[in-house]
Order: sequence, then C-alpha cells, then structure tokens
Amino acid sequence: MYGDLVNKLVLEAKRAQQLNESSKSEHLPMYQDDLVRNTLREIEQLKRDAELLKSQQELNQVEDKVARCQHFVTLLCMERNKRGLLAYQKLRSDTLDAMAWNKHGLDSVTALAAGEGADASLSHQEEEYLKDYTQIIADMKSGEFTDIDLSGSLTPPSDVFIDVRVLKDAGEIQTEYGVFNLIKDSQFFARQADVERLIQQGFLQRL
Amino acid sequence: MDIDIDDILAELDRDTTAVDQTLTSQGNDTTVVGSDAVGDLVAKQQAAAAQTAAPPSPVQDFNDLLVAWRNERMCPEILAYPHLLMARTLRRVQQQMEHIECVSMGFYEDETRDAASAVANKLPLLCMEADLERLKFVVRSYIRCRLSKVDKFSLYLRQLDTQQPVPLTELLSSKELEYHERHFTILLKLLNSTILKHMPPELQAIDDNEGSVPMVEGPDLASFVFVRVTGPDLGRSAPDTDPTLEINDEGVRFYPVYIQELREEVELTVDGIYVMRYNVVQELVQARKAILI
Repeated sequence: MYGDLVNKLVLEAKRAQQLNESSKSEHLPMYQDDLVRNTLREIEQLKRDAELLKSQQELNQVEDKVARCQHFVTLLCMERNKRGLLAYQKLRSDTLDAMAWNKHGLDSVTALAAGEGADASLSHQEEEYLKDYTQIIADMKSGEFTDIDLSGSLTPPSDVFIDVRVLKDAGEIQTEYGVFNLIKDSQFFARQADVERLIQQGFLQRL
Repeated sequence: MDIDIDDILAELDRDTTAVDQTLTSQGNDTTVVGSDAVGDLVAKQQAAAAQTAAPPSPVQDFNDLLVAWRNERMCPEILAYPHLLMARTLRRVQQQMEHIECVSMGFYEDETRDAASAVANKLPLLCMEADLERLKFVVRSYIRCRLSKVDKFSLYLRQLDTQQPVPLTELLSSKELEYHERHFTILLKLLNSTILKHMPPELQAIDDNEGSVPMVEGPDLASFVFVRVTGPDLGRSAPDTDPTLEINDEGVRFYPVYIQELREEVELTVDGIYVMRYNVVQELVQARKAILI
C-alpha cells in the first residue's frame, strides 16, 4: 500500500530511539539506504500520477469531483512520505548531535570518527554533517566560553577529590596538570576536574 | 504607652552600615568598572547601570544566575539572554581562575622557605577551586540548556518577525545566534542532499505550514509549570511600589491573573506555590515577580 515503506522506516527510527534510551548510550544503526531510495521512488511515481490526473482534467475541461479527490489523495500520500523521511533523517541527525556533544572536545578531537565505531553505518552526507557540527561546537567553545568547558560533565560536582580506577589504558596520558602514569587496574586519588575528561573518554572508572 | 521607634533605629543602623557599603562598593567598583575585556558597549551599559543603582554584588549576581538557570530549565520557551549578567559572570570566572593560579604559584615560592605553613593554608585554595567548579557547572548547564532549545525551535526562531516584543539579538547572545545560523545551515544541507532534492518542487519547503501538518514547532506555551510567587523583583524592592499587587480581605498580598480558556480569575498570593499554565504566569515570570521551580 501507499506509505508502507515509510512506515517501516519510521518503525526503524522508533526502535533506534528506544535502544538509545534503554542503554543510555548513542548507537546509530545502519542507514536504511534501500528503504529511503524506494520511498523516494514511490514519491516520484505518485508525482507522475498527479501530473497525469491534472492533464486529463484539463483535457476534459469538466469539473470532475472524483478526479479532484484522486489528485488530493496522491498529494496527501506524497506529503506523508515526506514527513516520514524527514522524521527519520532528523532523528538520526539528533543522535549524531548528541554523539558530537558527549564524546567531543576531550583530548582527541580529530579521532572522533575512529572512536565511534559506527562510521561505516553513516551515509557520507551524515559524515559530512557530523564533521561540520563538531567544527561548530569547537567554535562555540572558543571565544567567551573558553573558561567554561561546554562539553564538560553535566552532573554537578560534589567533592574536590575522588577515587578513580584505571580501566583499560596503559601509558602516560595526561600532561595538562602534570603526568599521570596510567597503569591498568591501578587506583588514583585525584582532583575531579583533572580526571573529568579521562572519565568521559572511558579510560577511568569512578569509584 | 508604646512608642514605635523601629524607623529611628533603622536610620541609626543605616548610618553605621553606610561606611561598610562604601567600602564594599569600592571593592565592587574595581570588578564592575574594570570591564575593558568585555567590549565597549557592555561597559557603557554597565556604567549607566552603575550610575543609577549600586553595582550588583557577586552574591546577588550568583543568585540571579541561579534564578535564570532554573527558569530556563523549566520554561517551555526560550527566555531572553541576560547579557550584562553573563558578561559579568564570565569575567569573574576568568579573574578567579587567574587569582587561583597566582595564589598557587605563591605557594610554590613559600614551600622552599617553610613547607609547614604552606600545607596548612591549602584549605582556602581548595574552597576557591570547588566554588569555581560549581559556578562553572551552573553556567555550562545554563548554556547547554539554551542551546538545546535553540536546536528545538530553530525553524520557529527563524520565522520570528520584527513585531516580536523581544528582537532576536536580545533573545539570544551573539554566540547563540551564530550557532543557530550555522547549525540550521548544515542541517538543511543534510536534509536537502538526502531527501528534499528528490522531492517534487512544491514539497521541497522545510518550513511548510500550509500542509496537513505544520512543520514549524513553536514552544508550547500552554504547558504546566510549577511557579513560586516571590513578590516584586524577588522581594528586593519595596512591595508598595508595585501597582499590580493587590491586597485581599485577609490582608494577604496577591497578584490577580486571568485564565483565558476557563474565564476564571485566580489570586496568586505572595510566597505561594502553584501549578499553572505557562502563558498565564508568563508576564509575572518575565517581570521577575515569580520564579519557576
């Protein structure tokens, strides 16, 4: 039926959203290229139908109510398809935004695509969008908000010092406030502000 | 016979505190007038503000920031950006960071002389750092909240025309305006290249309100919010000066508001907490006579 494809697409989007909500992490499933393309083809066909109806109407020169209704229904179907497609794409781009905010601006900005693990599932337009968006965020953080680390943690700070445990990394990483030698499974008593970034990157675990 | 001498005592009190006030305001002057980093316009506005009223103290500014933050998080629409307040706050953050830096440098010098006293005096430094972290968290949370609203209402913001009571430059900071423009551009580029390009031309509009479903989502002004009535200007200025404040039979001060769809008038007493539709209390919130919680 009309709009079945786009219905599938919306269901897909819904599932992705629920997955993200339940696991509290951003994960982007594959871009449904086939479905999108088929929906676009359906729109094209509907468009041809609508034009045909219009030309017939002009040929007959009579105000045919049935033909007008047909025309209206095809228009509605096109609109519905458009709505579904846009909703799907917007949901994906919102997920990309959240990714860019959460995993961004920590020490390795350029390695964003590598750290994601989902770059294969993005369409190349989305990759471009993600790159542009990270650039925007980086520009936002310069200027007057330099001192406020905008992509920093959104949970309020409670203690000055916290205990952290090293989860996976080995080697010296942090050089901003002196060097920490991060050895796997070792434990630190460090200032919260210093280790905030490492926690976000997943190197440290909070205790 | 009882003679009420409270006003005379208050006058005496004011005499003694007057000296304190000049002292503290001198201290504040350095923080407020020394605003060369913020730009001429803001400095001028601040100077004008400083002439009319005493310069706002850091504590007052922080309380204002908290109120702005809470309102922003609870409010369905974007509230006007507090330009002056944020400029002051950001400058203070910068100064305080430099100050902490200097103080900790000083510690290093002391440590060579006598280590014991340096270690003993770590507590103020720790407190300053923790305080700064908290302030930075509030600012960060505030800005992020505003940015998410900008994202949500970007089409609506673009359609706001000039007849709005608050122009867009007042509503958003320059940074937020830039973010809004650029994010909208790249989002449009994405949608165009993936979907809209393949559409028939009459369906290519992204802000089409004539279709079966309007595509521009404005803020839902009729949503419910918790609101606490604080009285005029958060209880700072004298309550007698507010013309909209009324007193009912039991001597309680209240604001009368009118709910349109129910055709009902409600008395919002000062210090009361209510659940109201936002559009009913919008003016009170904007005039800082009530805060959202």
